[in-house]
Amino acid sequence: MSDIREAILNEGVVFINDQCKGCDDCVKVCPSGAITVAGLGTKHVIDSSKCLSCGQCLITCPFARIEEKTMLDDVRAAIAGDKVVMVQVAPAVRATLGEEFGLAEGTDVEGKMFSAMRELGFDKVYDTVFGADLTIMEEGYELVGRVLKSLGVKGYEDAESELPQFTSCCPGWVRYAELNHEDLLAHLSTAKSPMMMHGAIIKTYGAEQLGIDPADIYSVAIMPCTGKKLECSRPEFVSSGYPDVDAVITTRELAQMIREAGLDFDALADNGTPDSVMGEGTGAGVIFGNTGGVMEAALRTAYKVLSGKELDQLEIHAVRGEDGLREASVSIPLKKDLAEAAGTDTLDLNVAIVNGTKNVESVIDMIDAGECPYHFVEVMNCPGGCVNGGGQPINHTIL
Amino acid sequence: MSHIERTIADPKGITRRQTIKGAATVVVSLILASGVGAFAVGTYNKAKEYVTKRISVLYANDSKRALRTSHSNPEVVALYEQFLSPGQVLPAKTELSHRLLHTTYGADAEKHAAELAESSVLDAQDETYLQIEELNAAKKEAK
Repeated sequence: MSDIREAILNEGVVFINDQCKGCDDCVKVCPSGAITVAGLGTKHVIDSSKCLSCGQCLITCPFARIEEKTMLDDVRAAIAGDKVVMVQVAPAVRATLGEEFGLAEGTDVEGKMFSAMRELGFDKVYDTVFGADLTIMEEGYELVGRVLKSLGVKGYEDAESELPQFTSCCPGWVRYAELNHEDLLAHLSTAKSPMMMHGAIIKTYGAEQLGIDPADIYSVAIMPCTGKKLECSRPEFVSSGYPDVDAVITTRELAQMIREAGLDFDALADNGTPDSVMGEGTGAGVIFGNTGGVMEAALRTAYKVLSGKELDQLEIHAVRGEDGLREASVSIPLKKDLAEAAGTDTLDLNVAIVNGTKNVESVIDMIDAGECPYHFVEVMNCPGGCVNGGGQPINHTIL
Repeated sequence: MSHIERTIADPKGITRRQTIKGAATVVVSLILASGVGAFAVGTYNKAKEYVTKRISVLYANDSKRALRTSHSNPEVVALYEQFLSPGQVLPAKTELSHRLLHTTYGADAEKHAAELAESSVLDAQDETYLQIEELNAAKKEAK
């Protein structure tokens, strides 16, 4: 394991430097109470044993005194070296990268982003939206299994049991659950995050399709998230026989690479696209970067699996929005064989969306009280979702 | 002499310190009530606004795409048919999809890492082919 992965695993990703002004803004946004304050105006310290590595403090610090550990040197060395460097980029990066180059907030720079990645020397360029679609297949079918098992449908005896099922793609939320709610872990979907799925597929199926020895592949992920650096360093993510993802860099660090390479962002071609075989993504995978997006994508597929039909209206507005806790119920007409097996024609699938990890506590209280009405709960740590992740461009409108 | 008696009876009883404090309070209140207060509230709303704008980018991106459901992704379908569950689309079912796409949490993670080290993708692939063969045989028999 490279030194930086080891260091991240032991110390976390985010740290406060010596020039801390002691202003307390970071303390207010920390979801896990990991920032220790010795007294008024003193320098703050992050307790890595509690820290989720989410980076909300970093993007909030008004004095830019919070930093992240970086894998940029490893990535630069890989590009300069002999390995085949393959890169995937998360959905939320295209929604913010333009801000680093003076474009207006809310500009979609998908095409320029892919063009830039090619110019930077990555050998193969993929879209994590593919991994997100794959996640929906695994996580969606897992949900269907849990629900049908609870209805006593035959053939689902081996499915996981606990309801509600929680999403597991946000590394901040997963770590929060691991540190604070051990008894809740059986509720987490066993599906890996899109990034880790995509990484495992790149070094197996991808290697096979491209005729490359997986030992010669260096796999990079560009993420809106500091927590993904910790996630990729976890020792269990070696399912391909190698580190499934070798390095993670943030949206900010991609922008840094673009600047260092002297690329003129405005002049980059607007029509850049990812490579095929593991690059195609659907709209369902794209919205993964928004709070409520994973839920909406999962509902589109769960509806199809359970009813045999596509949703008439793909936009599920009930799960959209930015409130800390939102709930919705989707009535699904069961297809004939399932309706007979379950003894009901329609299934009301009850879901909740938690926006900001702290807001999950009220759902956990419901579970503890045995009064939780939900089948599926999405949790994203960062308010708004990955578009406002700790690895995103710092937006200091407030100063 | 009480405070009230002093101020009513003798206006000069207000100390210089009290005058300065009072004046400062009035000035600060006026500033907050006018420009700065509105500015502070405005910037707070603006700070939240950028998140809303970023969110709208992804919803717009979705609505422009021809393919909008994960199960319609042809490359995902091909991945199942050619690799994860040869010949068919079987999410969360085969040994390969279990090994490559699922994980464990908390204390189980270490054990999981050790298990992965003891076996290989090729083992999972062999196991998957067996699973598919059994499945196909069962289907044939049912027919």
